[in-house]
Amino acid sequence: MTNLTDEQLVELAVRDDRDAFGEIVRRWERKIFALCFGMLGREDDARDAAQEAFIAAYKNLKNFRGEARVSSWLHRIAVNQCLTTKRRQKTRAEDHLNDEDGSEERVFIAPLMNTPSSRAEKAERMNLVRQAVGALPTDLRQVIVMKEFEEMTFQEISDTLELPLSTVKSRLYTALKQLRMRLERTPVEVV
Amino acid sequence: MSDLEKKMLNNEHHIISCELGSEIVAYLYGELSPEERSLFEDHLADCMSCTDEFAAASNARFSVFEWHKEEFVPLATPAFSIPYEQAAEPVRAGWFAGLGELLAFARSPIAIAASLLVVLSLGASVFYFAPFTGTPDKSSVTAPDQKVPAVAVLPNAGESGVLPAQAVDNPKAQPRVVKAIMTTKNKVRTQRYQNLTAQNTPNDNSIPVPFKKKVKKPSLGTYADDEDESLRLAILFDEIGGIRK
Repeated sequence: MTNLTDEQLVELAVRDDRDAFGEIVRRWERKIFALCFGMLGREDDARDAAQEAFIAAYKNLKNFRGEARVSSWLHRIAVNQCLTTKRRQKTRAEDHLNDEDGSEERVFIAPLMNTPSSRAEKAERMNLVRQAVGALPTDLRQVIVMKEFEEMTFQEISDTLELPLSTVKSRLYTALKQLRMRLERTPVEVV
Repeated sequence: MSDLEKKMLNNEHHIISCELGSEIVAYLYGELSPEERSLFEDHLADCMSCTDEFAAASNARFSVFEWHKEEFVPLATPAFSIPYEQAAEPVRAGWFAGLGELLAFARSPIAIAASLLVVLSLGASVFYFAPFTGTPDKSSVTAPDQKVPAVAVLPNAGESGVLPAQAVDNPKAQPRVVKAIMTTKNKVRTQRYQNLTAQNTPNDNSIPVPFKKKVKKPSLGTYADDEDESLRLAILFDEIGGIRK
């Protein structure tokens, strides 16, 4: 099953092969979760949205016509799911007279899986990320650290480094791109 | 129309990859305005390439976020102790710092009083030793038409050119004498220059010579000799000839 391509897995899943769809989920769960986290800003919301996105994908397997890659198809479903979640949150906030401030606040809660294998996988991933960040050119690493570790705004980074705002944004974008390439080059081996 | 809207219009048909990379990160880190965010989300729902780019950026960002959360956040903030006793030792940071220290000292009352005393003393000495600016003693001034030997700078000097004991003993007298002689010398030079000019001009007094205004001609580094009458070469040779005689 692991040797099959995404498209082959989808073909199998369309014929009601649940293992095939399980493999798709396993391959893409982290990336879809990351996308949802990027859009929603909260881990618990992102997890719910990712779950909803995979359910929606399973329900719409027959609509996948192979015009786009499976990844793009999943991304689109996840984006739509996140937009639905946001709209729902907005309506709920208005109904409950802003019982939450509506800000995209990060909430740290316990990880979904906390098994020894998942811990080992995470440790390995952390090691890879550390190496990938360390291998970035200084100017790119600088903006990543300022943004993620110091939680500075783009304007603050721009003022600190005396760079145009657009340069800061493009540097961060390039840094994320390079990180992604380095991380994809060395996939994490699941224990 | 905002930049974001313009970019979106330019990439409406997505023939090429969207140039919204910078907006993707701005959206990812929640730094778009509500209007821009809404526009970007509408675009994201329609643009496949942007969706893929956004997913990839989110993934990379989440890796860093997770690493930060797992490895950095649990770290206890280290307790920093500063050795104040050692840090209190003066550090020589160069002449500028030394100047700062000096200026700090200069603010003390003793330093101000000392400075005042020095200034007053200087003022008094300047007033006392100030050179005489009145009419020079006629006995010590050579007549304009009298030839002044270059060696005989001081009229009171003997034939050997050595100052008389009176002049050496009385140093206050020297500046006045020297100044008077220099003034005389300049007058002589001016007179000679006028004579030379008169010789070179036509001797027709009936024709009025128009006043020639000196116009400073622009020159690139060359010194205009006619600007300084005291440096005429002919006069200098005259003087040297006079000395040799």
